[in-house]
Amino acid sequence: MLDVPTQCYASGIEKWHTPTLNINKAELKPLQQYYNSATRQEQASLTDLAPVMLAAGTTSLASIKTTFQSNTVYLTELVQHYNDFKANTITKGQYDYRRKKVINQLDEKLGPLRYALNKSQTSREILRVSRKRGRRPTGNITRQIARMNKLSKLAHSGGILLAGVGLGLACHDIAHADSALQKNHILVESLGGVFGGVVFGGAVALTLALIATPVGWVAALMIGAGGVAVSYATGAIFKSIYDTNMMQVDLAQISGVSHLCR
Amino acid sequence: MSVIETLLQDADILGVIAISLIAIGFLLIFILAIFIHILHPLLSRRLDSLLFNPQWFSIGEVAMLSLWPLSLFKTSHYIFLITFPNYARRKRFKGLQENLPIEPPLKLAASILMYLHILFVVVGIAVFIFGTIIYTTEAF
Repeated sequence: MLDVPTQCYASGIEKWHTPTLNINKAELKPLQQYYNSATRQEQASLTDLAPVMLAAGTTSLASIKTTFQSNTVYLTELVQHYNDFKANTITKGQYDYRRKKVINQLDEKLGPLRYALNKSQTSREILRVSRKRGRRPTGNITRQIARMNKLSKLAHSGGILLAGVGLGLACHDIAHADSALQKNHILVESLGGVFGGVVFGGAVALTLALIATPVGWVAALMIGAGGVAVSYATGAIFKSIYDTNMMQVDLAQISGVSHLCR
Repeated sequence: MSVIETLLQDADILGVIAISLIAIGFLLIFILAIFIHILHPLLSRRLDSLLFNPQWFSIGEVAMLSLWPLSLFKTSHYIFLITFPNYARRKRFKGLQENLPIEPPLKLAASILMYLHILFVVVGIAVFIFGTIIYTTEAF
């Protein structure tokens, strides 16, 4: 009886779709255009690099989004208290007390993020009611709400998606590999990339603690690029170790990856 | 053929060392990942109000390191301060006079994590060195 190759099975197996970059086009259109026109190798590099690039600027904002959005309610409450004061519903003493309480609550909820939002100014300085003639009295507060919401929107898209795309690419390649050797090479290179990336991250953490130099966005980008290079090199090294010492071992089969990615 | 059989029969000494180090490395990754995710919220709760401000970190760092996963870098700074206080107080935490509000078991756990971290980086560098030797030997 002949063994029937899996490619000849009737389609009950889901058709694999190459992962596409699906991010907020308004904010990250250039990145999406570049990704869609890049070669497979460039796409693989981008999925490693872009999360760190975006982490330096906006990926961490994916979580900040939640923090900011859930805290705009305090700013809205400030505006409401001011309107109550102007409508003589509450006294000045009551207004000052409520304003102080809301600002303290906001500072506590934002935590260290208040420095990102306010830089060197305190929340009290930012959230002043303007007394200038002709200006809306609560303009400062409304501007702060708009700023928080804008930062939240930037965080909506992001590099976190790209981490999943990177793994998807490797699984796709394994599924479409011609031979067991090729599957093992892809698996070993991917494992090498992960190992190299984690070692690099650990080394960077140690170095930053030792030299204590502040890390800005540019330095974070360079660190990200270094991580990609180390991951790539470690992948090649792992492949070399596999070829010289473990070629008889079908790692993809033993680990179950060849069943998972098909 | 299983991995162990292959190593015993076919691999050369460099290959055995490299593969053993890789296995140790992956084991350390697993242990460190669990360890740091347990210590991260405990240390953040105790130390953020004292240390995580523009006096010791730049504004950019405060923004970047506020939330996971980059906040793990912040935790590694705290762990370094707990394990090597004299050095850390001369470098990043200059002028820090206060004692850290950390219980002794937590200090011990942080120190163990720090040394495992250093061991992991050393193992990683060793894998890189041995692997490069194997790679260049195979290439040429």
